[in-house]
Amino acid sequence: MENPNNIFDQVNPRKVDIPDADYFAKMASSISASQNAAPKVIPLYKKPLFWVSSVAAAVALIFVFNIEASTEKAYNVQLAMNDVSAKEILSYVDENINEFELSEIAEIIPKEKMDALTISQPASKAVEVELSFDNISDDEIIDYLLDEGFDLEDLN
Amino acid sequence: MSLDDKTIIRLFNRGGKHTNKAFNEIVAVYGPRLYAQIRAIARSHELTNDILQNVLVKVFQNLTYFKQESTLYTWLYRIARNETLNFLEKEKRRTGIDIDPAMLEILAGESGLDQLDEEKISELLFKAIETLPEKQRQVFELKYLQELPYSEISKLLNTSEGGLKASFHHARQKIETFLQEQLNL
Repeated sequence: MENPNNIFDQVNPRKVDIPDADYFAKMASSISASQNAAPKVIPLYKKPLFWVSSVAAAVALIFVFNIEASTEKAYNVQLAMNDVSAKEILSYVDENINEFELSEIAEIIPKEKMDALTISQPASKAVEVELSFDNISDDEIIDYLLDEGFDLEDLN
Repeated sequence: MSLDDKTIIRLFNRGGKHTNKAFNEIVAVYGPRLYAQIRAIARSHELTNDILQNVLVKVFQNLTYFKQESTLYTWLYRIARNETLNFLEKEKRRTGIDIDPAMLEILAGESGLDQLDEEKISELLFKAIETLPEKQRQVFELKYLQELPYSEISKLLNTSEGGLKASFHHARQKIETFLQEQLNL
């Protein structure tokens, strides 16, 4: 038997008129515009991390070039660079260095030193290339499509 | 067809035009739900509009830090709830006007409630909802106040329809008990 005092039988939720899609589109555009115009706030706690990683990278480079300068032998540099794989260098740069220009890096390193910086992969670390989509994650595909300018909504 | 939460967030974090596109998508998909959520508590469209703007600005500024430990909607819901309560509390202090909402209307011919007005019952309902755990509160608001079907709530909260029905049942029972005690029914 139903409870005669059930409050939910005696009241109704008040209807709310929700504005149309245009109202929300305008609000989104106006907020995007105001937020893009506002200066970007970078949390202070993130700055030391950035500087520490930048300084660490600089110290590492000085250390590597000092070895080369003191011995006057290019093979030392080759040795030091060969200890670190190209993949590790790229992932370090990717994770720790936010903004860099190849031209700026090229300016820092003289031509003769560039010639000495021959990075060779040890045979045991040969990269195996497999032409299979199983090795490509959804995230990588989405990144590729976005880079190529595809509209994800069109592809859905 | 709209994008899934993960893709929206990924798009947002890429910056530039992608960020704007992702944000527009968030507002298009979740804006109406947030509006209804705020409007159920706020007295007017004007107040709701102001609160929703504040909510969306916070969303824009903080989405990068969203850890995806809940659904995007749940995260938005929490921001909207906190912002609404804070905003209304400040407004109440500023104007001195009681801004408790009239979420309910008494059905015609209900003599059991003729000594009470809608605002009083709505105020009690608001207090009752406040006593619920977050999940039950969300489900109750979406099902009872916004009258969404379980299938849609299931997508928003990433919960099975069976689980939602159980949550709604518990929420409704708790509210009923609370109101009966308060109203001496």
